[in-house]
Amino acid sequence: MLELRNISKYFNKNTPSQTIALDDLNLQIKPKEFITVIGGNGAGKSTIMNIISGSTEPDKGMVLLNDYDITFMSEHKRAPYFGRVFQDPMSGTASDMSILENMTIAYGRGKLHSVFRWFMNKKDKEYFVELLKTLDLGLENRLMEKVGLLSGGQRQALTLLMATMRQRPSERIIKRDFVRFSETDKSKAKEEVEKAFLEAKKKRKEALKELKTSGLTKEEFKSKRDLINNEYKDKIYKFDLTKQILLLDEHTAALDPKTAQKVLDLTEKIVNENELTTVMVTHNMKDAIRYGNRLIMLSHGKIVVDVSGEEKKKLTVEQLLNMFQVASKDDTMSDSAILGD
Amino acid sequence: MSFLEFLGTMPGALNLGLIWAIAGIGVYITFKILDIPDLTVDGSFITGGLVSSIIIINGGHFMLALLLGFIAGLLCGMVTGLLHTLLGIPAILAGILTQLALWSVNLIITKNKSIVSIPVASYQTIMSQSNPYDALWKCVIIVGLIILVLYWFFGTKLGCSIRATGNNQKMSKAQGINTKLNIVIALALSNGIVGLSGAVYTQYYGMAEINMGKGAIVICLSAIVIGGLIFSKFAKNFAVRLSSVIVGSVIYYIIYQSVINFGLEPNLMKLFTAIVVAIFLGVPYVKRHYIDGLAKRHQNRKIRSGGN
Repeated sequence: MLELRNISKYFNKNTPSQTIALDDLNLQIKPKEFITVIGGNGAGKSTIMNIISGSTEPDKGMVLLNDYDITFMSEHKRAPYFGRVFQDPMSGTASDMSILENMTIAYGRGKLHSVFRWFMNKKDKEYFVELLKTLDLGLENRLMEKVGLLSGGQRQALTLLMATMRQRPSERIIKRDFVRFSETDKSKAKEEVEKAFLEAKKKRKEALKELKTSGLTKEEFKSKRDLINNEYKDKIYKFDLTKQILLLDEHTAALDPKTAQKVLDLTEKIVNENELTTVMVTHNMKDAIRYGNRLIMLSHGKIVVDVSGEEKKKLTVEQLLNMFQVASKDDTMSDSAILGD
Repeated sequence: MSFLEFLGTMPGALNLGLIWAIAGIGVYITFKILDIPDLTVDGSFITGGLVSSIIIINGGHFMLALLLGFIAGLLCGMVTGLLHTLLGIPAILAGILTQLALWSVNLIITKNKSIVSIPVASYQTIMSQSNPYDALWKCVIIVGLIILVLYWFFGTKLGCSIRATGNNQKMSKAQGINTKLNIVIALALSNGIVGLSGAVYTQYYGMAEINMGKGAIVICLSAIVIGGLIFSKFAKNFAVRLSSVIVGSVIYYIIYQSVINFGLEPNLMKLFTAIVVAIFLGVPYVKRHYIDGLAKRHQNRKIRSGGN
């Protein structure tokens, strides 16, 4: 669970042109929630995303990930927990590198590895091809091409894939962050996690040994082995404090309507298949209603509307527009003119 | 000057081209991969050279001298990197600051002498200009080794993340790459290679001079630009692109040597260098904007006058 607690953020602080981007904002994001965020220009949508992902620090308040304070954790260190897609299709991928290289980099997110290992790996490559096939854009045949040659929509789809391809950190990251986040006694936490990992490993080894000598048929053997492996993973992931959160910052705003639709459908598919927790900023009220299971409206750095579940399903664009006008009475003209199409 | 005499100067030009190609490859890392113009090079080239010559004079092995020249460059680059990442000084300014500081550091290294000479008779060096053919194959081996090592390095996870850092910092951070650390590593590596080049250069010449690195960045950039221009069509592979720097550097020195042979005054060399680099930098732009543009305009005029 991700929590924003009393977050305030000012721009041009202590100057005459000081503006408030977020005003004492509180937000709780529960696992498996798909939140759509709407609001006018300058309402603080992007600032929320930047504060969650760590590219800006709040002036006041705390960001808590599963009750652990990550407010001042640097951007690259919290990357394992956040998959991000940006508004600008150019931002999410390295344009001078090939599709394969980009995916390899993304696959390394949330994984501690020897820095001097050769980065290409045949097994990984096969996995990437499988993943690219699900996009249905023919990218699997262009692995060696530079990403700069792709269209905006293709790049956005690729970025989406890169943001979601590794949803769980590796065992070493789990260990490291369990110790890092434990607030009481670090050495005790380290001992605890090491012991638990060792026990799980030992148990799996013994179980597998037993299985090999038991003389089952091939099918039975396979299913039993998977069972043992899953049991092991469950034990390990008990220490995993996180499940990745997908942050989509107006990721279809720069695309033409048809491509935008495609990317949105893809987003929904990936999110539903993996049961990802998602925060999606959008300018489009229809999309905000259609996708996700919770809707948040921001105005002047505050949450003015927060609907979820059945209530959200019944929502119409007109209702939403009304709500928006009520919420932001002061400057309805400028903002509703932009949002109302 | 006869043609044979002219040919006789070519191995020397080739050697110089290859030695400067080492520095060019170092600059390639910052200029092309990291996308940072790093001006530390003018200082780290001399520092590498001076350190290596001091080691040799004090009885050190020439390989040790090369290694320490490399390390000296490495440290110079690290200073620039730290100034840039820890203090937020723009990269180009950080480089200039380090370069400025290195002037004094270099004088400390030489104990206020402006020239450190390594007499060939009394000290053994890796190569010497008195034996250009021997130096030639040694240069080829050194350059080849550096390209091999760099090809490997930029294929590893760390190298790949450095390339991503140079390409798109926003994406790199989002993918969990420590961009600041990578910038420091790349700047250090780049200047280390430049320092190595300085070390080879002083051993080849048998002396190190406090002014010899002036304009190093220009020579390196011209090597990169000339090489890039020639290989632009078919250089996809990273090793080939690095090798293009060698070709560029060698071409630069062959032109340089030819011009000297045809009797240009040495004092005018800097002017000449600037002109050569300006020409090679400007060619792609001129082609795109003037020649192609003129052709298009001409075409349009033809259509208008013929169509109506």
